[in-house]
Parts: sequence; C-alpha cells; structure tokens
Amino acid sequence: MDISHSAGLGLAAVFAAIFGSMLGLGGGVFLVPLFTLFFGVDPKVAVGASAVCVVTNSVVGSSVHIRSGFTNIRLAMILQVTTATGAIIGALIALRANANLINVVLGVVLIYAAISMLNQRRAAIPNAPPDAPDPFGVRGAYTDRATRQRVEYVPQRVTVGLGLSGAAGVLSGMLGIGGGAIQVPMMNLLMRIPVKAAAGTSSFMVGMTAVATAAVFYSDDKIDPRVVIPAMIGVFLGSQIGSQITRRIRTQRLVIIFVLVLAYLGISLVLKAFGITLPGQE
Amino acid sequence: MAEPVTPTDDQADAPIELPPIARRATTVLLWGFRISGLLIVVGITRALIDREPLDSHLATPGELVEGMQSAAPSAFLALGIIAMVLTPLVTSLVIAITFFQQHDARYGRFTLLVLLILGLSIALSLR
Repeated sequence: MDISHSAGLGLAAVFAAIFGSMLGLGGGVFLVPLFTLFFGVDPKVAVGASAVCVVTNSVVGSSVHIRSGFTNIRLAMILQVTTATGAIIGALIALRANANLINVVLGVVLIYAAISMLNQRRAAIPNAPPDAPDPFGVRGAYTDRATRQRVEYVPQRVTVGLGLSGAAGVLSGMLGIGGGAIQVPMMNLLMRIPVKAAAGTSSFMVGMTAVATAAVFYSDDKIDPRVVIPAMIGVFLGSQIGSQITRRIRTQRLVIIFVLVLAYLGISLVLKAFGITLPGQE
Repeated sequence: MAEPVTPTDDQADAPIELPPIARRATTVLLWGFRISGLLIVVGITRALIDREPLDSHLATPGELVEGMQSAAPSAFLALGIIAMVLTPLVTSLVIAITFFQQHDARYGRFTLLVLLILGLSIALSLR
C-alpha cells in the first residue's frame, strides 16, 4: 500500500464524513462501500476501520452535543445495555460470515435507507408532555438556541426502544456503521424524542457501540493501521467540513443527491456479491 | 403536546451551566481526543522521518510494550488508535462514578452493566 493509496483512502473518508455529517448518519454508512468498491479493501478490514472512525466521530461530536444539552445520558445508558450486546453479536456474525454476505446485507440496508429518505415525511413528531409518566426517570430538557425555546420531553415506549436498540446494535456490529441511521428515527418516531435530543443521544451511544465492534475486530487482526489512520484523519476533517457546510445550505435540498448516492452504492455492493463490478470499481 | 417554554433573550444567550455529570463527561471526551491525536501525530511524524511504512496489523499489548521501549512509530500509532477507542469506556466509568456520588444507584448500576458488557468484549478480544 503506497502513499497515494493512503491519500486516496483519506480523501474518500473526508467525502464519507462530509456526506454523513450533513445527513446526521456519521461516516460509516459511506465509508465501508467506498473502501470496498473503489479501493479493493477487504470488507472485514473496512468494517473494522469504520468502527474506529465511528468512535472518533462520536468522541468529537458528543463533547459538543453534551455541552448543548442534547444528550440524554440516562436514556443512553439504558438503551446501551441492549445495543452493546447486539453489537458484539453482530461483530461475531460478521467475522464468521462470508464477505459477500456482508456486501449483500450492507447493500440492502443502503437501498432501504435511500427509499426511507425518499419517502420521509417532514411532519414534526409531537413530544410527549413533560407531565407524562416517567417510570424510568429519563425526562430530558434543553434550550434550542435556534428557536430560543426551552424544550422538555419524556421518552415514551422505553421497553420497545430497548428491543429495537438491540437490533440496531446487531446491524452496527455486523456492518461497522454507527447505527445512528436506525437509532435517530426510532427515538424520534417511536419514543417521541425531539430530533436534536435523539441525534445527540445517538451520537454518544454509537461511540460505545463501536468500541465493542472494534474490540472484536482487533481480536481477529482486522484493524489495519494503513487503512485506519488515513480514515481517522479523513473522517475528522470531513466531519468538521460537513458541519460547516450544513450551517450554510439547506440539507433537505440535497436529499435527492444522497438518495441516488446511497442507492448506487447499495446496488453496487449487491452486484459485487454476485461477481458483477461496475465501471471504475475494483 | 407540551408547549415549549420560551426563555427571555438574556436566558437564551446566557452560557449554559452544565450539570457535573455532563461537565465531567465532556472533559474526558476532549482529553481522550487530544491524547489520541497527539500520539497519532507523533507516530506519523516519526514514520515519515524514519521512512518507515505503516504496519498492516495493530500491535498486540505485548508488541505495544516492546514497541514503546524502542519508540517505534507503529507503537505510537497503535496507542493513538487504542486511546481513541478507550475514550468512551473511560467516559462511561466517570459517568458511573458520578451517578453513585449523586446517590443515583439505579443509573450507576445501568452504567456499570454497560461497562461490564463492553469490558467483556475487550476481555474476549485480548484472550
């Protein structure tokens, strides 16, 4: 692996993190397919690198989200019990699975994400009233500086959330993605948590989940510093650029581009599993 | 649906006073990032000076000790990666301690359970 290959991986990570940051998905969703399809990186090594990058993104992002009051630490700790367990199970499945299976599952998840984004309804989900029952003691509040409003909420259906978090953990461990793409909509739609609090809590959780994934891949010698180091640097730079761009443009206008990118990567991965490679891919 | 409370301009612009748990968690996250970043920068710089290519596998704990004794670039890089990966764990430990200090034993135990699960995955990795 020469310097130009490392630079290529780093650049790909920058783009993955810019896209991921703008969509609130983290870089992992794009990182694994980019590394696998365009740089010929073994899917398991790509998943391992992605897990380390997810931790990096979480560590940097969470320090900001916690200061803003968006992270509900109590809720994160409850949900993390099943998410971390799921991540270990997912990572163990990934290490024993055929590389083509990982490509197919990730491909299907990307296509599903593209379709969901296309169908996404923008209606605001009402928060549960602050006086709603709170048996788990996970009530949260923050001041939204954009709207200058104090937002209070009580997460609902916590037990259902526990089950779904476990499933998100399995996918996260298997594919090296942060799981934010699953956790944030689940918290918002099902548990009636405001999007900013859901994103802040998810950002904190995915870091812990990815620790479990990274540890399992480390044990199998699938953490390759030649891939991880350029990816970490690229993801760090990309997430900074992405957050700056997000402030300046309306992300919703770019959704259609992202949908096309996700669908292209998803279809490419599924085709690759069947031995069909599109032009420009390895 | 609960009506959001609108604070006055002064309240909205005032710096947010963080609860102890958030303040401590943020401090650990920031230092974890700084330490990891420093180790990686040192490792890359040494690798460039020594013209040493990056290793294809992350050092085991035994190799790490050996590498640090000889100040090998790969050891700095491996430590940087490991420091980053361990940061959420240390943060969780600090959160657990803070929950217990605040007499919130229920969430202290939840956090310890999460640490136990994550610790188990690491222990299995290092077998």
